[in-house]
Amino acid sequence: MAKPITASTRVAQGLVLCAVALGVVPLLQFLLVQGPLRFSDHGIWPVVAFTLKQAVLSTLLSIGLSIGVARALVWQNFAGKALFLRLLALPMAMPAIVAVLGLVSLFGNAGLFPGLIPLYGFWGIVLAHVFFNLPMCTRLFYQALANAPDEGFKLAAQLNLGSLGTFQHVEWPALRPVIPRAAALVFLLCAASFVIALSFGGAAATTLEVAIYQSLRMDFDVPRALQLSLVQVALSLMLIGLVAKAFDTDSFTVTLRPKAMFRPMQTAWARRLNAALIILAGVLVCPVVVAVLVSGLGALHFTLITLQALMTSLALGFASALLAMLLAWPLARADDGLSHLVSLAAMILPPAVMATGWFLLVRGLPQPPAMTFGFILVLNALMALPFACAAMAGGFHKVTPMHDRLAQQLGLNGLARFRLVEWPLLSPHLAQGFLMAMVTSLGDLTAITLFGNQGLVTLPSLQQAEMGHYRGQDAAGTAALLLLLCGVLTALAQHWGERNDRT
Amino acid sequence: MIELKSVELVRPDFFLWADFALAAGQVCAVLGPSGAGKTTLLNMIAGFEPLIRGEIIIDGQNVAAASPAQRPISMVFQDHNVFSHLDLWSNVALGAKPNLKLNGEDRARVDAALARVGLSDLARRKPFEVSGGERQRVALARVLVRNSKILLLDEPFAALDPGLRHDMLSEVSAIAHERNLTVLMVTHQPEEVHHAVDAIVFIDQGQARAPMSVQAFFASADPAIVKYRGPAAR
Repeated sequence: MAKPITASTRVAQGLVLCAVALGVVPLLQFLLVQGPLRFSDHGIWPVVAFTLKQAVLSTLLSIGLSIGVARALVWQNFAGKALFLRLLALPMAMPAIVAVLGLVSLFGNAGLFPGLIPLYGFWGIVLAHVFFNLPMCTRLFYQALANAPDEGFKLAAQLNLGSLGTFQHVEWPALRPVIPRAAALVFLLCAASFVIALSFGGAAATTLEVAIYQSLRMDFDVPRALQLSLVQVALSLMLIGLVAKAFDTDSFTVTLRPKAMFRPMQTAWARRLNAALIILAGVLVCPVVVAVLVSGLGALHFTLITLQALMTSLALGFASALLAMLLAWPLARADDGLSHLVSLAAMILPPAVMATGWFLLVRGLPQPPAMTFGFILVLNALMALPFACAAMAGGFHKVTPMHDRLAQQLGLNGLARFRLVEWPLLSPHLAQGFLMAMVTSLGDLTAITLFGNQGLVTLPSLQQAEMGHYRGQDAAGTAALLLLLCGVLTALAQHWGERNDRT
Repeated sequence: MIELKSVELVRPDFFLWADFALAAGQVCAVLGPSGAGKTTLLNMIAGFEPLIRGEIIIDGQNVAAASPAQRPISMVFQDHNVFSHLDLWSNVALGAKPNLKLNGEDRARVDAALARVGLSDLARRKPFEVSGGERQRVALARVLVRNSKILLLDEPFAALDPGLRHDMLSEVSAIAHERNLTVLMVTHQPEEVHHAVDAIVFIDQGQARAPMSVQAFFASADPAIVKYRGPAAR
């Protein structure tokens, strides 16, 4: 049933489109003044090629391995499986800069296993991307497989289809609809990679997003930033256009619990392979988390600058999450094509691109701290919007079919409907979305790097500065603080997510 | 013939015990209150639920430790009996060879089974292109191809309208007698199975009672059965 578009939806759509326009119009204006761009200049194509190459390989590895790990987790029961499934949510909570420190403390020159993995350059970037995306995809595929009807597995066992036949006839049909959207999401996240590429990249290993930042903040080469921005937008639009119907960010709101499922008997080799895949996922995820906590908990420090950064991070995170939820509620409720597209604004128009436009807009004007704070706040809110919308959409998808007709019949509208129907049922989704938006904002380094200055320091930017000044102990302490903060908020978000599943 | 000898299943919150036998060609309804263990009994016989103790004897062989594929049993579920990406013919053919590498004889069996359930004309359609009743007929055709000795039906016709349900039950009964199949069928409509079943197994509080005739079931003064039948049947 088509839902009427309310005024609040129009306002939310308008505000997001306005923010996008403020980013795009100055770029177009600049384009008109500068004349046509020549894409053969400035070595843009090697950057594009590198961005695509690392994104394609990161996507293939993340998707391929996570299908195996998800399948192994579905088939294999073991003590601590519930805990393991929860652990898989940790990389999603972990700010990229914290993961960078964890990987450096494991595989860096002064790390526990120096040289075991080439951390800097192409392979380091791919490894870090797999670290982040494998758990996310595993969770998504696990859910798809766990939701496949038990009868399919029973039928496969009865008909003696074997492992391959069961995969072909039961598991693959369950996975097939999920793979394109998982792949599209991973590809977009990797193609727009900033912190990872900034930390592990170099002159020959630069992504579009990093190149835009370098052009703007290091080289002050606005035409080049503009060219890179246009290529980035074209790439994002092309991909989202290809998988438009399937594309969403539900994977961030998935809650997993082991449940009783019938699975046919497996051969010893299949069990060994499953165990190996689960261990591989554990080896990929756990050491980085442990490394951050072990090196950081002892180095926790609460100096004035740390406390200032903590307060700024919390204030920015809270305000961004609030704004994201205020926008997400009407957008998710409308559930129409434009609202869906608007919610993905920061994925289609990457933050660095939007920031380039805003940067051009205020270039030459006095920039009071409040303006900088506002830019970062809005950018963070837009970056958190896809995940906030996904959390809210889950609620509306449940509430609307259940209560729409009854509410209409009883004449429950407006505030009464909100108070009696929507708020009690949607508040857990609101809490989950808010916490996820706050985690996204707390861990963000993109906005603060693009707009930040010495007067505005957040925990991620403080950690980056400490790493840059070779103050490893201080950086480890800041990273541990950030991880604990995000970890607690994610655990709370998961708690609300599980409540959502029960309602 | 199937014989359940003191089979027992124990879960933290559930217990089921059964000890009865059914002859070849006998069609038996499994009745009982919701949550009594009707589906669990069928799952146990099919090999989807492990037993704590007891024996399941089919034609003299104890199959209690055998995998579902090794048991001469076909089970038809309430839903999801077909693979949605395969056409009806291939869904039936899986019963002949799991790898779908069929010889001429196999193909003839598949064609004959589809003809027997009246689906020859729809053989190349996908499951979503046919009705719910036709999808359940596909499952019955596959049972014919598999040539199992025992057929377990877990409310496969519950979603069909009464007329179609009656026709399907008659068809199952006819196939059972034609092929000498032993059928155990979970249902929630005892009044509808009169014409199709030879016996009723009633499950209550984790215990499967010995099979009784339909007449004996409806005449029973057992308080649990009286309560289950409800006021209309009293």
